[in-house]
Amino acid sequence: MASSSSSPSPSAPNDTATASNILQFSPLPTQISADFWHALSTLKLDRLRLNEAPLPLRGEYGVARRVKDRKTGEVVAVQGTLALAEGSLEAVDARGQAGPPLEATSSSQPFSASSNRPLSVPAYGTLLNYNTAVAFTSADKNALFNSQADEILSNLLHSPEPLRDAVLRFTILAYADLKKHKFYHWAALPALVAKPGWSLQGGGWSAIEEEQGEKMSEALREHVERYKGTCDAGFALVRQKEKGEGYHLGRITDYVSFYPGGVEESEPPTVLFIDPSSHDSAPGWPLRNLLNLFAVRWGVKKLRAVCWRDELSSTSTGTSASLMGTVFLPTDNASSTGGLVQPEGSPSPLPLAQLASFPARPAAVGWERNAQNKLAPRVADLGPLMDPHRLADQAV
Amino acid sequence: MNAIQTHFWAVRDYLAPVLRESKFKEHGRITPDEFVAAGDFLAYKFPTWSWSSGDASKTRDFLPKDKQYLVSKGVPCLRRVSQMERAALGTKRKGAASSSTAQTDERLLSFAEGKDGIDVTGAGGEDDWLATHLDDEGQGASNAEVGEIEDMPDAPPEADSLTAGQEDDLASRIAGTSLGDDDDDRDDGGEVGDIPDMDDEDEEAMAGAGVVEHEDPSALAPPPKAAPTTSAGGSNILSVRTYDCLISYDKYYQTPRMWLVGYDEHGSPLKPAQIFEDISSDYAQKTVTIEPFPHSATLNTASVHPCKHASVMRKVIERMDASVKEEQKRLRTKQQQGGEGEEASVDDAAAPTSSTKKKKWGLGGAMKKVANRSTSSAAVATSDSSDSPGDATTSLVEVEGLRVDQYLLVFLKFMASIVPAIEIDATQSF
Repeated sequence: MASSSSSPSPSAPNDTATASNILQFSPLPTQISADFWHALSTLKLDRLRLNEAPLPLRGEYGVARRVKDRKTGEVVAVQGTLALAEGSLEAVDARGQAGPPLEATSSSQPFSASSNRPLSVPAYGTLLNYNTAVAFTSADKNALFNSQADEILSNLLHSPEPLRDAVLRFTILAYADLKKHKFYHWAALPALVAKPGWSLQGGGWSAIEEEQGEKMSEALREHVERYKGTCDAGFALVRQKEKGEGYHLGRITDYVSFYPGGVEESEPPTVLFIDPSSHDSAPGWPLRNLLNLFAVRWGVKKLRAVCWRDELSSTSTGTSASLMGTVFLPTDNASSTGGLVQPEGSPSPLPLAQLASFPARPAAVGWERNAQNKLAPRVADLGPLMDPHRLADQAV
Repeated sequence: MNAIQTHFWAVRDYLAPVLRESKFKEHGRITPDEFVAAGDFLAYKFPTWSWSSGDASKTRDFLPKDKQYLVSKGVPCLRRVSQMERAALGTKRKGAASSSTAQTDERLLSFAEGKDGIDVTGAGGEDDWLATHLDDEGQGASNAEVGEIEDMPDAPPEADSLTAGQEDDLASRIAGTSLGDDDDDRDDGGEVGDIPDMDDEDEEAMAGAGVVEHEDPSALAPPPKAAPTTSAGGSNILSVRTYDCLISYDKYYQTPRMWLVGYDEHGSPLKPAQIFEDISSDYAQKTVTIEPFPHSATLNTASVHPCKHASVMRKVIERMDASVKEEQKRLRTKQQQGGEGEEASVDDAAAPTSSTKKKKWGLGGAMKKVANRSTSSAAVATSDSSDSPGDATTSLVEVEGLRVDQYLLVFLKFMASIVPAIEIDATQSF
């Protein structure tokens, strides 16, 4: 109904009026803990030395945490973050040196950074740690980012593990000033830009009914238990059981075989994902590439999405924060031939925007903004917590 | 100086024998085994807490390998302590103290007033914190001062931590905290001040170097900075500080010890001066100091020094224990009365929020609620067959008073008074 309004408008960044139906995704902030930097400095000093090769990383995110403000009595949600901790570098540590990205997600070694929260989803990425500030500043970040986008597209199309390799793949650029204990870093969580953008159907997001939520929660608990520690824990296909009792959850990659009767136009496939966002109407970043996965791999242009935002623990409040809505790719015929990505050997163009300068490349977004909302690196100053001289001054 | 002291503590810690005998009610200390039991209970009741094994080279042999310390990650901290204190003082000035809703505000005040008569050893202008907070204009200046580390007298830290009078105040305050829904509104809605800007000179220097983002209508624009942080435009989105809270076992003091690692709104680690903003001003830089975390090779972080934990815990436990026992006794006698008392006893068991009890011994009552859910159901069961009160009594005997595995719940209440803004007290949130 609203396909006309979703004109691709690269010129106006804040035309919220016309783009009201465009689905907006809430970016996933990274949270790098102090012990991650401790682990990195140790690794750098003892093992890596001047080696600048990319390091594999493993982070984690979960649903937004809800707390009750003791002052106002309101329930406030604290957005979920992509957390990196000491154990995020473990894959490197075991090998003794930088290696290729992890081969298997089948959690062979315990992941000590893992929080005990039942709903935590791993995400895999790369750390590029530069030796000097100059190298960090002058690195060709655009090229890096674009090659990431390329990789993501090809993984979306062909990888046997698209969730791990593409859906939430991140890169962190870093420069560790080991003398001053300052860590400059900049994260990128590239997401391919769909063209025209994903839109939300009429009714918008609606809350999940209690009974429905309970049944889904049950099925999800089972699913999470089965795929614990892998990316599959965070995403699932949903199907109602034949007798209407409860739900059946399956892996995203089983899409082709999951719906026995095939998918009809009136009853689009349902995906569930663990949503770190706490925003009322914007689902979290992981959904973005997940939708692209459906679009480019299976040509699905309409989906029902369940943004799962509740803890699975027994101390539930009764009110569910999870959302449900139908999203679709508007069939915008005007621009469909120009400006879409057409990878080699592909018969038809994919519904993704391309970079102006490189016609075959998908456009992507996802650089993390700093505290001032600018595209710039951040700094973690651990001097006060690590520098022995300053510690001595401080606590005398 | 600090290094020497830290080494001294390390040696003393090494030499101290491991406590074997359980005496937690007599002097507030617990054995490692009890620490593990209490930790298990905490992790079971509130799954945000979990055990961690820590650095392998720092494993303490008197604790199980996989249960070296407790950790709760990402604990939100909604506002700065100064805002809370100022808010409390504000209500006082309006003379609203007469109403019962001012009760929670009173806590901070009475504590502050109790301090007046006590000799705080030469902490300079720190005694005057009450005055600085009263003066709203001076707020900015006093905040800036936190950044500077004040010189402390060379006396051992024990001397300038809690005095006996303070302990009493503290104990009574904690025992008085209510566990139930803290619905007493403090009328300071919208008091949330501006979050101080991060110092960004370094970042500007390392600027984005020509990175361009593709125009993206699908990315949610971050909320404008000036917007109030709570429930802006119906969306309950919040960017708040978070803390990783760690509880280790201190062998020398034989008590748990709280450690805090803070992160700002954007996930960057906090500097100590910023951590102190979340610590009640009576403790910042006195009982709370930056020290090496015992289960990590490199991490130094803020910790509440445990030198007075035992005596405070003893006082709190004493009071709560008494109230728990009293409650149990009352329950028991009511049951034995049977007949017309029956209804009332069931009511009490189901809702231990009878107004006066809640105010004064709310914690005790709620503890009972946590621990004795079985007893209340037992009470219901016996009310069916009213001629067998003996059964109820026996089921009550096994939980006479406070159990040692509830120690850490009490401990968290105690810590919550030192770091009032950090929601470590999981019993109030979910």
